[in-house]
Amino acid sequence: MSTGHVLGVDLAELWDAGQNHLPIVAGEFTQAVNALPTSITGIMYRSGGVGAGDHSYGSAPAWGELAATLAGHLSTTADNLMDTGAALVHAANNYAGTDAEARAELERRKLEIGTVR
Amino acid sequence: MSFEELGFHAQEIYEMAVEKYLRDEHMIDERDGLYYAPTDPMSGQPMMTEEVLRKTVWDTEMKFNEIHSLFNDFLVLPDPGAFDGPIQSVTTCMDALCSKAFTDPIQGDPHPINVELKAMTVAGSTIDEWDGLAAKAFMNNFVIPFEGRTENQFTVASILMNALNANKELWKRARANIDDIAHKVKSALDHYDDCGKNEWEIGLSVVGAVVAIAAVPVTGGASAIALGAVASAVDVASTFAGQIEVPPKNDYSAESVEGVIAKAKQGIEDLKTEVARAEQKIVDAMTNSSGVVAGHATDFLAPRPTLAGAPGNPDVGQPDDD
Repeated sequence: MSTGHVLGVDLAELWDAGQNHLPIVAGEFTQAVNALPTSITGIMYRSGGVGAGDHSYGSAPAWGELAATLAGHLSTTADNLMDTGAALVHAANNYAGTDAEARAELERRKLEIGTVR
Repeated sequence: MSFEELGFHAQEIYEMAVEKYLRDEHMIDERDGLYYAPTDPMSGQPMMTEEVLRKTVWDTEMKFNEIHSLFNDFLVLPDPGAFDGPIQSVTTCMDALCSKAFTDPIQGDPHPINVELKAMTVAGSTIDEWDGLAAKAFMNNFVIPFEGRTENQFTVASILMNALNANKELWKRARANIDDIAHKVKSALDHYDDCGKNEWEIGLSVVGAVVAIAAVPVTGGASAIALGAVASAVDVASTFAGQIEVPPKNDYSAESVEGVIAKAKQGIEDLKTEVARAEQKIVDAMTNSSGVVAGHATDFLAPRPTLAGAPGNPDVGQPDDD
């Protein structure tokens, strides 16, 4: 098998990781952060200041602070994965430009692999 | 009796207190909403003027007027049922983060692997074949610690979910306890003048509602760290069951209307103290965990990959020859 063909196969795998696999993972983190409420003040109101912490909402602000921190981390993780994926796609395409046979193999395999999302 | 009827029961207790006090202290009887002065058994004539009767009734009504607001602080409390939606949402978040099958560290429930996250392993195997610095850094800083970091994120989500669960139990019991106090006060007013000692017991079950868990361990990291957490007493892993506080049974006794009302106020204050103490456990756990997560950010969030920062010129290097 020619080196151009082998390189094309490697580039197709790199492209697949960036185009498909990392965005799949990022999507799960996006789902996680979308499901996570970051405020519960709406269900924590008490009229007479009964409880601890905030007079009207008790432990809700403390809960919200931790939830917002986690939401931020999950969101950043998703963004980093998407950006990394885009960089890998860019790298694969750029690299293929240096070798005609590799490029042909990459393009052929892109069609074969497809785009998951 | 139910929690929703607290305001109505305050009115009932007020009416009972006024009626009983007038009868005990002034021999004034109430029938069908009207008050009657005591009569001389010999002559059958009223023993007080109409004016004195009216003033005595008025003074007594004023004396016990504050009973109307006895339960005011408890009239609007969080609804335990309202926590179910957020609990389900946070559980969905936890499930999404399962890079392998995880067990809730607080509650003990199993969460199956999220198979979609296996894509990270596939991507990692591909990138591992490239020798560029950015590719290697992504492998070392992102892919290899991925499982541990998602477990730590799962743990934080679990702490949030279990705090909701603890809140649900806390407010369920707070509602039951204040309702119990109202019920017992009515009963005490009914019986304080019976033979024997008039005693009643109020079990403040709210005391055991929230279980404080001092240290939930976090995986990985340069130093051993742990997060503060709470659990619901009815939904906690057996490991922590021994940490459930046993609710006290507070005894109250009184032999007069004024005595019963004074003890009612004391019971309400005792309950307020315990609700505050129980919710403080939640505040403390959330504050502790926020501090630890902020202070050890890299255990919960991978540093931004060099690859992600260089979209136009990523250093993936060369693929392996083999």
